[in-house]
Amino acid sequence: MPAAETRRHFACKRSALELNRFQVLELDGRSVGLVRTRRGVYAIRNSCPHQAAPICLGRVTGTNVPSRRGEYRYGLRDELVRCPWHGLEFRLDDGTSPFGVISKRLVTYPVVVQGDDVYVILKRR
Amino acid sequence: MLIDCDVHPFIEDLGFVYGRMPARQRREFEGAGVFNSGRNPDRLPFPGGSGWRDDADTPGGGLAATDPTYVLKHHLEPNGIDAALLISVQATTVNAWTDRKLASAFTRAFNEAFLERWCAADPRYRLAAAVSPLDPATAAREISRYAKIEGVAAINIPAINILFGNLHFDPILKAAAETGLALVVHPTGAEGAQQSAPSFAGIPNYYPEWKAVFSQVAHSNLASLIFEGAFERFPGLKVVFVEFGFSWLGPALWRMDQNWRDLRYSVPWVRRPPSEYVVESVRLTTQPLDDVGKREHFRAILEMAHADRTLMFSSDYPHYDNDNPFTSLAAIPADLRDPVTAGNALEIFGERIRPQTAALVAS
Repeated sequence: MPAAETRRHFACKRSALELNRFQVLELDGRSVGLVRTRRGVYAIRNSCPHQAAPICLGRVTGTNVPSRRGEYRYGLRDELVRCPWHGLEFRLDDGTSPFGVISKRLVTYPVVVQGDDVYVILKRR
Repeated sequence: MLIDCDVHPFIEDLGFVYGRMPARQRREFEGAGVFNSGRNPDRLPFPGGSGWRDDADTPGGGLAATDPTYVLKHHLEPNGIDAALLISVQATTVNAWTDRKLASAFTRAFNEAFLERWCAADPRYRLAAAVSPLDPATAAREISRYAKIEGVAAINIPAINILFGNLHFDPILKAAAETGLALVVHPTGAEGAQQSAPSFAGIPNYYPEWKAVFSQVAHSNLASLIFEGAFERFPGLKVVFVEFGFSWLGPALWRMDQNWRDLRYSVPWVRRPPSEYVVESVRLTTQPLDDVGKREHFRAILEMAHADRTLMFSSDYPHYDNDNPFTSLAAIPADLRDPVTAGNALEIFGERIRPQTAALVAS
């Protein structure tokens, strides 16, 4: 999208982000959760698309991928956030629900890391 | 075309049934005083007497639905029924038994008897061949055998105190899926009454009370099939719940879909929303049609239950609470009439439900 419609906001220091733990900040009037995983740094809106639960109180997790009866095969390690209310899972990178469970998407924001500085790109309101 | 997915043939002369057993099995039954109904008569006897329509007795004074020729005149022909699925409650009272060998012998002999006396009498009679749920390996072999027998359109299997999705039933589900024979589940009267029969959420004390809650059996068995991933493991499996009602299905689907959506990771073998499996592979029958006060409520119930795919006409002849086809079909909205009268039955049972005009041989 044209740069004029978005703005870069400083969020935090990368080194301050504990692995797999959300840090929740108010950025431009929005509650945004920052999290560092083994795969990168992600920013999500702190609101579950299902019933607006504070999803950043949930956990970073993988999940059991489709399998045979009685079999649990763990996958998507650390790629998802699971909502603390109803357990719905969303990808941290694009907010989609794995395996087509729900069509609603979690709002995610682009993240830019420069050195130890983490920025979140938000659309101007 | 009109297909009646629930007609109950009856055999009063049990000697005819026992005569179809090998001698060593026949000895176990003769003189044993086997009841025709699995219900202990001290437990929930039918209040009005027999449980059958008084007007269904044969002109010669025989019990209702014992004469296939008379049933044609009394029920099929006046109502324009082109094919009737025969579901024997007698044969499935084995769900209250514990002797596996005798249960399998009993169901098999009843099937032989119905093929010989009913299906051979008229091609409009299509048998749901009974198998015993107590011995799944034997039942699976029987299913494979029945798949090749002319006159058989489905498999009649009663519920027990193990839900259908459990490992116990895998051989039966597999054989049914492989042969394309739908599994037909129908109440037997033993529910809530005997140890091995399905249990309710508490034991009902009165007949009308019992009847008011037995959709629980279908509901729980459906959830079991879904959450055990039966329709994934056995593609092509088809299950029909007969006489358990259909008004409960809509909310049951919402609840299953919601729980799957929230907790899919705990049942990762369930790969699609439960309602999708149901619309593809599960069917219910119309009788007893609920007395829904408002037309718009009934319409909503039908839509919520995906009746255009899931619902099939049934009468339950000759039971007292059977539905008159004219009144029950008149209640069905016009756009659902074709699927309900025959379309859904043809889809789920396939060509086997059509009357076959070739000569029939009872094996």
